[in-house]
Amino acid sequence: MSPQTFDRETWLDLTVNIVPLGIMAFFFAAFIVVQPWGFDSVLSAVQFSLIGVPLVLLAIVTYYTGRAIFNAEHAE
Amino acid sequence: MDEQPGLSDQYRMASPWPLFVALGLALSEVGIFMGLFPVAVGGLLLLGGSVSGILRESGYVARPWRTFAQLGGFFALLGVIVVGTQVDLVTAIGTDPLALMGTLLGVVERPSNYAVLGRGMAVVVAGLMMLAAGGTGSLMARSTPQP
Amino acid sequence: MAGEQLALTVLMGLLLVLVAAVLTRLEDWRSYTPLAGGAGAAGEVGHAHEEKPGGITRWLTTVDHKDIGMLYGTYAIIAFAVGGIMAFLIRLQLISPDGAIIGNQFYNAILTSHGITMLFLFGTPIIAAFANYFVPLLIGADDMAFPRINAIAFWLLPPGALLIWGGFFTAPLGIGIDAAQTSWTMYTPLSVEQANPGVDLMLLGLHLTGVSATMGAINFIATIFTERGDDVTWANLDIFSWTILTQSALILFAFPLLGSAIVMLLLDRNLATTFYAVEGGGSMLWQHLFWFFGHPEVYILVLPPMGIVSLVIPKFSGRKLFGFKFIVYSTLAIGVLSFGVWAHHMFTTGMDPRLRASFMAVSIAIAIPSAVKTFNWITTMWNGRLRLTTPMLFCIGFVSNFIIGGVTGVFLASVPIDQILHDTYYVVGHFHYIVMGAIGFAAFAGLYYWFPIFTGKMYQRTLAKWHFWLSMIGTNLTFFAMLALGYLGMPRRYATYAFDGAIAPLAQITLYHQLASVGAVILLVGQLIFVWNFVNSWLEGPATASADPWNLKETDQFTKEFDWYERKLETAIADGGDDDDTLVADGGESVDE
Repeated sequence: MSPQTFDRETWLDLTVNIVPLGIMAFFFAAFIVVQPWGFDSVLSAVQFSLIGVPLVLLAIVTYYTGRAIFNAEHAE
Repeated sequence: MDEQPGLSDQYRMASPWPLFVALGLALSEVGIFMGLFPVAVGGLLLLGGSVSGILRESGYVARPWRTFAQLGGFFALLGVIVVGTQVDLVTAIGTDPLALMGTLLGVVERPSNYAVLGRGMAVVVAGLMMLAAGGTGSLMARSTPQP
Repeated sequence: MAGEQLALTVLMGLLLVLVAAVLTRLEDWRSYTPLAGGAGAAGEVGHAHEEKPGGITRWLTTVDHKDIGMLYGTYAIIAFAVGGIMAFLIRLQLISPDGAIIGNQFYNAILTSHGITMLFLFGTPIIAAFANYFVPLLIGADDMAFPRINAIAFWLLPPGALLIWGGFFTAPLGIGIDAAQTSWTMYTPLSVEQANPGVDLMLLGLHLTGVSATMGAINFIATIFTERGDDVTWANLDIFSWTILTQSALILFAFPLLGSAIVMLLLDRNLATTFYAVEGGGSMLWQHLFWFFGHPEVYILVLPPMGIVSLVIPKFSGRKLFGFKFIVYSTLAIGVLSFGVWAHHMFTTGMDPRLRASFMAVSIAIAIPSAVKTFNWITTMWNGRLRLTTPMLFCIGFVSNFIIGGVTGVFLASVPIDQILHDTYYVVGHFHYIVMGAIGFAAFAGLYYWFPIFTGKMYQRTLAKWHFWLSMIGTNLTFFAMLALGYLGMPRRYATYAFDGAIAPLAQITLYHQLASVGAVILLVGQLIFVWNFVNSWLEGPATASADPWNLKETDQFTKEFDWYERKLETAIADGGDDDDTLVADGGESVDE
């Protein structure tokens, strides 16, 4: 996803999904820094994947939809 | 070719089958899960029949009776697998096939006394009926000359 | 037992013979043309000139997306009436702390059935009604991708409803099948232990509606991907079709899971498996599976209504939808994230605090896309040339109720607050603001907005406005009182609430319950007006002459479905249609009575 993939307009449209991605990234980082309940190999792995998996999936879906719309617009 | 075309080739946006596919699915689910032997058998027959019909109508298969028999074979196999989880079929056929027949007929007679076995037998019976009907239908269709 | 068996066998035999007889009457088996060989014979094509048979046969055999849409709509409105009467009985019961009119068992039964009826028999089908009728028109398709599967999906619903309500019909017969009392969430172990076969019937009915929804979803995805007209691209696909596409994807992942979970529950109940038993998967397994379906279900129900609102608001604001693509992307964001929040329904079940924290984080993140839409709708209306027609009023009501329902929901997403408010009327108030205040209102907006298209008539505007205002006031009275009840600590689901005065302020709780019941009466009156207006205008209203009842051409928003309607009207007039009757427009200028 280099800046050349989309033009400025499309990036602007995509910000709407970058905000929730940012919130999840914030909590992901926060839970790495602050661990009030300690670390447990299984539970902590689940904890981080519960945030990480939706984060990655949303990024992928947003990217592909952005591409589909961008391409459709520029095909005209 | 003929004076009286069927509904679905007379009208472009009509088909009599979907209603019966849905009804067949509903009846067979209720019959199997609630342990109602006749409802299960009837529902499966209706489901198989209307699935063959709708496939024929939309042109996915050419010979509906053969599809009906194939679906019957599939159901019978599925039922035999379910029955096989309750009765050791291989041993029973090897040692005393008549006793096995007796047991299974007893299940058909009083299916509600057997939890899994009764349901499995319902699927087997429906499958065999479809196989028989579908086979006969195929033969009759072949002997009738194409108009 | 043997006698019953015989009777059932005879009945099934008769049914099959009857079906065969009907089919023989309808289908001439020998008329099928051999596909490869004979299809070239030119004469055969000649008789396929009519589209549909007449009378009741038309409705039983139709595979036309518009007819199926109408069937879905009729079905949904009947279910809405049934579920609404159940809700009304619930509210009547709670007027007095000891229960006013019905027994506790019956209360539990209608409480269970109200939830399932509204979500599965009204919510999903009414959306399918709009989607069936309008998605093909909006994307320029001739029909759905699989018209016959479309019809099968609809016809699974009536047996589903009969099974879900089955216990109410069989209870008076005294044959030991009563209505299920599991609550709509069907939590184990309660739902495994209740021996009543009515629970099995309800589960089977739910399973059928799930199969139906899945078939419909596959059909919509295929239609939107493959059947779009040449001029419809991903860049100009309308917002309603976008939401239907996302909703269908959610259905595809969520409903099969519900189906499997239900089958496992049925096996536990009937064949002594141990999926949800303590020695097997444990009863928490059901909650995880149920809510992994259940939370996406919330968005399955709310995304298409959001699409309708996004479609209607610009039409009566005289301008384009603000941030069209924001809404598209945020719809997709909701779709993805909805699968990562399910355990926020289970914060009080004693799960590990680390997991709770993660679910809280994603639940808070999913609030953003919903909030984005709200701002888009408000910005679209801001300084616009608003026309307060009935569909527009319902859309504004949607936005208003959605804000209250949404903001109360953000608080519930936060673990500490949820621990206090969990299982109280606050939760009930929150989700009813969404399901009635938002989803229900959007359904009404859609029904009024497209009323001219699917009936060829116009509704009576004064009655429609009465309907709106009574619904708006009733909804807010009933469900705001519930929020207050939640703060007072009133637990949900209870049939009576004659607490010890030392535990809870009984006088206040009774007052709020009564206020909620007053709201329910107002809502009921509003819906009676709606039904009268709907039926009366459809049957006796004057035919519309204009294909543009909303003056959409003026603001250049005459969309494809109205294009289609215009062509249809022109054809009808060319056929000698009657164009003397004029349209009584609601908000349009050419009122000509």
